[in-house]
Amino acid sequence: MKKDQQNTDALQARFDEDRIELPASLSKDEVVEKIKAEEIKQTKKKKHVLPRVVAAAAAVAIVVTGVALVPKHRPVPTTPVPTTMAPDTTQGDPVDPPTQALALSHFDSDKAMQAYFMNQYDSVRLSNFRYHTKSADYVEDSAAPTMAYEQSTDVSFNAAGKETSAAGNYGETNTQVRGVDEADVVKNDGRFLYIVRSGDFVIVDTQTMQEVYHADIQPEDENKYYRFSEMYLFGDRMVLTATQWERPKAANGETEEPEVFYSMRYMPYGWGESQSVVLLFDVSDKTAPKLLRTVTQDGDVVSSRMVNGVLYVATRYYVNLNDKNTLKENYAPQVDGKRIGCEDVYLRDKDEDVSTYLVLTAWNTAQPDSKVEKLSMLTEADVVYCSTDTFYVLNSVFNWDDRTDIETDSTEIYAFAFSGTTLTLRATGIVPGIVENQYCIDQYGDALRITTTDYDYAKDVDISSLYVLNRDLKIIGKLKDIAPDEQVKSTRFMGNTAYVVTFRNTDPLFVIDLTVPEQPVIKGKVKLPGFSTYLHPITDTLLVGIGYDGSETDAIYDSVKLSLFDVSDPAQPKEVDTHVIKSASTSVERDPKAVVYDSERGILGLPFVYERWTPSGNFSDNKFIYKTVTIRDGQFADEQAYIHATNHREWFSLFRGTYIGDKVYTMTNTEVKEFDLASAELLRSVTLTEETTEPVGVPGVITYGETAVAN
Amino acid sequence: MSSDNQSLVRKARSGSAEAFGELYAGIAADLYRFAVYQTSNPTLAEDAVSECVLQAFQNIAQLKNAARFRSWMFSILLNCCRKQQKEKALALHRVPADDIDVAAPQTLPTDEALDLRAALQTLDEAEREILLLSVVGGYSSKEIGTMLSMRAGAVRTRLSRTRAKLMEAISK
Repeated sequence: MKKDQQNTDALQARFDEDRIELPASLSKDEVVEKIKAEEIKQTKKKKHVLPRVVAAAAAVAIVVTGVALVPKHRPVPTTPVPTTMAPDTTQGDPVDPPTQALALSHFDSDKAMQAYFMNQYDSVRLSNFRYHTKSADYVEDSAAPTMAYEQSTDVSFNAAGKETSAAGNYGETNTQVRGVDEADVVKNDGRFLYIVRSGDFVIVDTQTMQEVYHADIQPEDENKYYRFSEMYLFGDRMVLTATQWERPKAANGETEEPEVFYSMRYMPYGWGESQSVVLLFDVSDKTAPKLLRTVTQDGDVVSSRMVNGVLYVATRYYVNLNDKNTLKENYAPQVDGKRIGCEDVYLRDKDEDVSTYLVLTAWNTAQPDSKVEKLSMLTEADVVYCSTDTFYVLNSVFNWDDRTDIETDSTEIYAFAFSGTTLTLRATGIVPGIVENQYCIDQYGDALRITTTDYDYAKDVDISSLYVLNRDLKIIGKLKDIAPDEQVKSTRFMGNTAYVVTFRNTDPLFVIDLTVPEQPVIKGKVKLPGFSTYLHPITDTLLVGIGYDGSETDAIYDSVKLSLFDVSDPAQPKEVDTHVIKSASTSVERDPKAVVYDSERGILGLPFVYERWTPSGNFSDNKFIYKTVTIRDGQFADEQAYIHATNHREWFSLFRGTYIGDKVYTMTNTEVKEFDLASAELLRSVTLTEETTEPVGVPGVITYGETAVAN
Repeated sequence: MSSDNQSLVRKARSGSAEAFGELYAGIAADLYRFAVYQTSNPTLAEDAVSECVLQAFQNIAQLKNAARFRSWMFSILLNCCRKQQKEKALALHRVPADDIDVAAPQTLPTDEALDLRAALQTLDEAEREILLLSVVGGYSSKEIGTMLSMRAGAVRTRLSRTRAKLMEAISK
């Protein structure tokens, strides 16, 4: 990116020229005085103000043992034995060091688990936050016989994600894997539209174009309130995910925010305590959904999936090391009112201070009263991919070796196998680099395929790679440096083929053959300007790429480009058609669930936002236009635009579309509109009940839209 | 980070305002510059840095790695700036615009500097944050990604896009 480097230098110079003087009030001495004054104020107000580090008394011994000694613990997956590496025949580069994978273990008792965190509180040792002091260890199994790897052929290939129902079809959530449902802010059951907003949810009947239900559900504890996130529909059941927060408490007629609440607002991400809530409704009567059960799970939701009515929810629980008194209780997260015991918690690395729990639960929503199964690991979590039998959690780790000062990125993979509500940690593994999103991971038979971008800190170059792992999550095949110094932007796996888009200046689409898992091979590629951030399979031989257009040297970010790829000849993939939407953006870039594809008629639908700015540079309003394009005879045809709003004042607002039969429905937080699919003529619209307002001082959520000043 | 800083963090953790002051002095100028660009208002910037300092001192027990002091401070400052801007936006509906920006800076910025600040305001907030963390904070895409809980790749992409946008705005 030569141009980018020029921009970087020019901007740096420009900023350096602007000499900004520190005002006197912010001088060191003034600031120290301010701190001291504040201290005195706080001490007068409350007794326990500052969590002070107490000089470590007797070091708390944490006894960690394997499963053999403590039978009640969950079994630890067999630790892969270091193997002697056979020379890497697939690539010319040196083989990564063979060492042990994660040494998983358990705490001996709940007391030991509590002590682990109390010790972290007390500790004056300056341990690393999310930083490891050793290099990542990759387990490769190139010595493993090919025979041990059995390729299953019975796994359904997850091309289009969903089957579409025959007559009277309608838009369903764009999911990655067939049979694995994903939560979304909007659901469509063929007649009713369900829309989740932050404070409530609404149901719209498309036959009458009326809002038939508006929920204002509040927790039993009136000191708390919900913020809703996403939902699932499963038959007559609806599952709503939410976060539960505490209301600011009023004292002496004044609104005073509790201390925890207060500090949560300003502390970096992940420092507060939050509780996730799953609400199960019976929606057989759309005008009166019945709340069947509420399940709480500490932490914030990483992601969730639903398979055959069983809901799997992964949360991240940050232990609050700030307050010793609450820590005695809150050293471990609770699920459904019960604290997780040491037998369900895996310790990832006993030598490292970790203060985050990954909590995974499974719950059969078809039986509302059934037990919520749980499993936990002391670790961070970023990306979730779920097949029909395994819930994979990926955790990107920045490694820093303090002796050599070498920095590397790697991704840890935890495979939680499930059968109904039974959860088992089947295996753990590590691959170099960082995973872009869930579409970069795919389970096919016994193989797990992953594309990553590794960053060489010393040389300042990106390394885009593909790894094939076996059932034990050992690397059995790899393709390193797919494109020199390029990042993986999007990936789609279809059976034995991976389609990978990388980017630096232009967008090559690579076709990678995975028929021999040990030897991934690039079959062909096509270079194009711009890049796709999402690839959607149309047929076995056609793919749509959604992303940015580009020039010879860089991407053009204020336009959206749809590319139609013909991959019938893997050696020569072709971009057979393109469609550029100028001066617009689409939420598909961040959220592929905004894509709706009707495979029967070949109609692809996407929401577009056109931002408008005042001459003085302030945000003015948004134009919301839903567009459809038909893929016919290997070409884009019949573009249609459905104009939802021309001056929507909220900057960041929900904007989605879907279809039922020959009608298109577009929706924002405030309005649902109905259009004729073919003519794009506006037929009817309904204004939704105004959203339940949030309490003053919502923690942690300062949205950009609120700062936008109209006019 | 030197062992001096390590011991300063340790002292600050056990309640020494002076030790914290020493740590702060090393990064004060960068914090303030960042806040000025981010809020485009010296008064708001001053408030944001003050708020950030108090919050940081009160919560320094949460800072586990002394080497991360600087980026930890920037993360807090970012939230404080957001809060100041939010309050400003709310206040704008009530207070006449003339009453805002009362504090006069000690030295008047040059025309170039004013152009730069105006250009920064054409960016959306997320873009501005990323850009400033990079240019003023001096952080890598990885570090910014950690602060904003974004992927490094996404940060790099947005950075490059924002740089181009800002260059265009300046040269207009």
